[in-house]
Amino acid sequence: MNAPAGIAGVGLIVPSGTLLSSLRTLPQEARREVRLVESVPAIPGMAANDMRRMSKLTRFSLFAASQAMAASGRGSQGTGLFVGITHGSTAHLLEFHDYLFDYGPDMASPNSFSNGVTNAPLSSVSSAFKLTDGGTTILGYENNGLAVLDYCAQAIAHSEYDACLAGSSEEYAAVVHDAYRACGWHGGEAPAYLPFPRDPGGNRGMGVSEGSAFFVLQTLSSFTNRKPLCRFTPVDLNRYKDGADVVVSGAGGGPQDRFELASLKRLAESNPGKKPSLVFSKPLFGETFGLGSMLSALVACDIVANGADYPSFPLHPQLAGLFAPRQDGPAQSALVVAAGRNGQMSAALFEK
Amino acid sequence: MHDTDVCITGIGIVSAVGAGAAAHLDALVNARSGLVSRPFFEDSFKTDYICGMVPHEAFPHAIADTAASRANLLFDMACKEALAQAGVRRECRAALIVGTTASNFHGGTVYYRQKREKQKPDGGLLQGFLPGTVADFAATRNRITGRRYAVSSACASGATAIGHAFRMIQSGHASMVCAGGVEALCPFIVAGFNSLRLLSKKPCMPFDRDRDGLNVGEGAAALVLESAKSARERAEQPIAVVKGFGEALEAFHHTRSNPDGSGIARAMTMALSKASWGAGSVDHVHLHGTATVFNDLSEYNAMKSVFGDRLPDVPVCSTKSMTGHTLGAAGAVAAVLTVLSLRAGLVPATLFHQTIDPEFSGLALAKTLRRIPFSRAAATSLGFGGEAACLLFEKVTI
Repeated sequence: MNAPAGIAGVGLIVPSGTLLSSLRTLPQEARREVRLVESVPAIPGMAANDMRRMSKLTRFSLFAASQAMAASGRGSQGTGLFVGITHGSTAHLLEFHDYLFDYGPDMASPNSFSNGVTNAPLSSVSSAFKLTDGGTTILGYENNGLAVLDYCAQAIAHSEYDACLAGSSEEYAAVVHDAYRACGWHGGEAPAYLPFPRDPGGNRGMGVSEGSAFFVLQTLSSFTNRKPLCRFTPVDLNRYKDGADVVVSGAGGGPQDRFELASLKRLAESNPGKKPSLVFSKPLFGETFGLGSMLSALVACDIVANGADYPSFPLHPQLAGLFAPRQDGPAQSALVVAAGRNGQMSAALFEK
Repeated sequence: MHDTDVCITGIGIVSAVGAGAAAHLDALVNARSGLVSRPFFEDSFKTDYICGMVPHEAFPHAIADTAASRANLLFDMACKEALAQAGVRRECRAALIVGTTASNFHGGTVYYRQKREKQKPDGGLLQGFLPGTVADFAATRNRITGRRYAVSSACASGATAIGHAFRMIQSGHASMVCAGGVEALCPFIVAGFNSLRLLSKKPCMPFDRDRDGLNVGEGAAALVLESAKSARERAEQPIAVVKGFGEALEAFHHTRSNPDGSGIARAMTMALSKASWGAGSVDHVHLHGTATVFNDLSEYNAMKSVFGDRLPDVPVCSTKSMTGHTLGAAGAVAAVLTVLSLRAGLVPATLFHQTIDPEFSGLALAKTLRRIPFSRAAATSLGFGGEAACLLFEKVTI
């Protein structure tokens, strides 16, 4: 296992709210095909006019990052910044193309271009919080949020930064949703059980959603006056043997599910003495692609730090008997497992 | 050499001057530019742009025919060359990190146009739209089975990818990483930079008094990095060594570099500290040098603050007038060109540069090719959003 880090603060914005408890909404609600964030609260020190020009992707990032920074009590010095996304702001890129197609390259909007590029959220967060110590945008799939946290934990362990502000964001766009449907990736019809590897005629997947989540990670030894929310350790699933009280899976009926199923089976079979309970995060907030595994990480944090209870969801028949039924109440540890549609796996352990 | 020293055992490159390291060394030696003039839009919007397009003889695919895969194919070319030179011929558990900004973006543009025009959109156009697919494609084609991901630090993306690989190897999390950058030219990129009024209508003139903007380009570059221990065990001779990586965010502006150069200066200082080098150790700096007013000013101020009185003794160059500005690939292209320069003992000419901007006093810009044997070099990168990166390279002495 890798060196652990401590979580000093978290922040989030999802359609159901901006608190950790917002994640515990009724699963029925999340089965709607599309759930959107209605409004993004202003962040201190930023003019409303400046925020209006930004994409939703950037505004989500700014809000969640501001919450995480405030909760951590950290200043900007020595803090790396890493943001995981699947692609840039679709709304701004479409607007750019509309002008380009209708009026030509000389009339295309520079604001749409600069707000649509992939690193626009990172650039705005860096400027808003005066984070100057480096960082990057990491592009990936459903496991990307966890991959970002993993990278940050390693970087802190090797003294590249004193701390990292690590986040992930996703912005809904109908054109992308349509395209995903056309590719057979997400149909919006909730699966009967999870994971739900796509059958030849099937086209399922949780409703899609949007939002952002940010964490502040720092070394455990740097917590002097307060305790971390919980402890975070990146895990190599192929070598993981210790077991956890709860496993949080990112299965959602999308193309990542065949990899989720294989990993969950392998995980259960490699720890036959311990049957953890299994929580699926996607029925709570829908499919959010690159953001999803970071929201799963928040669920794990909430379970471990706050003893929160999350509803269960029917298991894939091959997993029956391998995991324990739902167990409410505090857990000492929660393992988050997330697969990307390309088969890349990420996993991390959250402990008290 | 220590076991965790980070060696380069393979390089691969494709750009406007052709495909392969040999073609690029030839372009450096003969001061040859690959910039061409061509249109990107049709009908009433048709006008020519100076750009660095990969020539047909090196990559015989039109943009329209490779809308969903152009970046994949270019990066695969660079990876193949780098892996072959590194002697990696079988399935390999290396990691793969690629830096890009737009990747296969043109597929999205065509898809959206079809949708707007009420045609049935071709879903296949989106197969390469997500930037992560570049890493997937190269990994599958070259049987690289380790961890893989893409990074985007705007025009510093290629350098960031190499920097991540450097860290991964130094910290012992990987023994071999194939890392680099890629960008594929398309109308979106040209229109985007045109909207920001950053494109020059002539071949770009880095650090020149009359510079007025950049020429966009495309290409890919990849490096096989591995620990000295891994190279030794595989009996591979390193080409050069990566000694340091530094990065910084300027927290200044969405698209413009901070003219005071503080971001790039911090990245350089951080890289020097990683390498345990003083500024006096650097023999040559391959600058980002896009030929925009603010980028060049920012880099000059950074150079002045890092090198102080030694500034006139450090020969510098920009190769953007040779390849065009390859955006997400630029940091990796600069890395490969710096390694080629280091091995050949030459400081590349900054093509089309005529008269140094009087503001840049003391900057030792190589206007023509200079043959100077040297052993330590730096390559700098700057991107939108104030992302700055610096890589340090050292010649291998046997």
